[in-house]
Amino acid sequence: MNVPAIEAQLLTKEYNSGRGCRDVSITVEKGEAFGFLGPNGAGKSTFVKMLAGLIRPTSGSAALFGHPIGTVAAKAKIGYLPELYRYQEWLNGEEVVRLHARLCGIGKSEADRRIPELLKEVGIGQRGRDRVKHYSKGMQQRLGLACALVNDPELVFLDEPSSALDPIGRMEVRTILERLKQRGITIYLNSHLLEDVEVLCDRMALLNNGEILRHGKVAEILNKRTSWHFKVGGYSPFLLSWLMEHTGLQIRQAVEDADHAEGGIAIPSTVEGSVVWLEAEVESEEQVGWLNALIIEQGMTLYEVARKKERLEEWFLDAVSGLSHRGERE
Amino acid sequence: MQALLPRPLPRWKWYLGRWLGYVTLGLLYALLLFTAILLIADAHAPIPRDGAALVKAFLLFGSLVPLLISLSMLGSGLFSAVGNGVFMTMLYGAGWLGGMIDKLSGPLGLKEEALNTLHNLTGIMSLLMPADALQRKMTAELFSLDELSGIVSMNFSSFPLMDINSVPSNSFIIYGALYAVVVFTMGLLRFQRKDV
Repeated sequence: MNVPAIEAQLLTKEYNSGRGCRDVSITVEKGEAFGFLGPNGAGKSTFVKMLAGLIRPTSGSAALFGHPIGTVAAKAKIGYLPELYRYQEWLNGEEVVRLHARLCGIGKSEADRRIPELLKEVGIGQRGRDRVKHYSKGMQQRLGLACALVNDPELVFLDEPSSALDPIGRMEVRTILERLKQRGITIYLNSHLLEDVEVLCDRMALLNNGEILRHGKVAEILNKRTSWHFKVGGYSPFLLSWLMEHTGLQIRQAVEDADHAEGGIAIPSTVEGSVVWLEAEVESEEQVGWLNALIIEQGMTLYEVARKKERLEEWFLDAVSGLSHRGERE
Repeated sequence: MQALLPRPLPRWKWYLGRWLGYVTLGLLYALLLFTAILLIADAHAPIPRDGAALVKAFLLFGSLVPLLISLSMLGSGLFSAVGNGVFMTMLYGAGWLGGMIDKLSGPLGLKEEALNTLHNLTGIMSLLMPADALQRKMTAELFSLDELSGIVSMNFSSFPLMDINSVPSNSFIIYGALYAVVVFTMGLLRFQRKDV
């Protein structure tokens, strides 16, 4: 029987302050990487804490690999990196990981073999012999990752795993997570770093004010609203209004954007002569072919056509714009 | 705590482990304190050297440790860290005050009715926080006041702090033990359901 790694049914946690999350239902299959997004105060950490057995749900139910959340059997299969980590400052890195290993019932010889490997993997290495009080935030976050992985979990909950890391550290953590994913470990990622979710996750959900707003496969979400770019020579403003009138599609001249490299197309900052980039939102590829034909029919030159891939950040902002957020802005 | 609690251990083991750790440390500290006080006192005046009395006195002295830790851990499940500190200080203060009033009420020459009311109040205070009463019992055991009362005059009216009449009975010691057990159990049940 194929039991999902995470199965939550109408999981709810209500606080007197009105925070928490309501009726959240998700299923994460084994080996999947799942991203949980949302503005600050949306209820992401509350939800992950319920799954990790730290807080009790007000209603609803959830199971990890078929075991109810909060039970020893469920906990035995997980690793958890909390957002607000605070490790024992009087211990050194190795000792902290060893403490976690002992709590997981890992024998001394196994721990002796595994801990140096883990510390090396997360980028702590020999500094594992330094006291935690001398660690930077980034080092502590790496240590937390080592602790989360010490029992070789089948499922890891990572609450903002890269928030305190510099760009190199983020890249290293992402590489570690990619390796975990390749090993078939299920990853549950709470992150503000949309790029991490975009690169790593198979599916994701967006939480706002404690409720799931949208969810689905990352690839589908990123390609849901298909925009296409057309590099057109011999352009005149008349063409744009004619095309819009004739096709009924939303078409605009693409604006300068230094970071605009979606779909492998970089929009140049200046138009050379009468060559411009047009951007059209279409419903099907047939409409793209039709637009091609119309542009050529008007006597203009079509140099290049490419699909614009929507970035997760744009999707995120689009999804939550206009909605009230109960987070830091309150 | 947030990193450790998701580890595969039932919560009652966490609670019991922390309780045992605190109690062990507390008892070691109590032993050190008890010995130091006796040694310092011995330098100035003879102290009883009856081994049985010393052991009984230390057991009563040390019995405060599990009692206070059980109460404090229950408080930590109900209040914030600061709130729990205030709660414990007030409770301990109330117990101490109850004991002091109890000791000093005799020489005040109050009417019987007023004295009864005062004793009821101090009794309630001692029931809420039996620490001071246990300390009085410890002093009585250390100096074997009960045995001495049949040999020498035990009239402490001029020095009410040593008044043997204010020493709690053995039943109160059993109450203290039950109190600690109940408070420990309540704390454990609270921790089982506590959101971390």
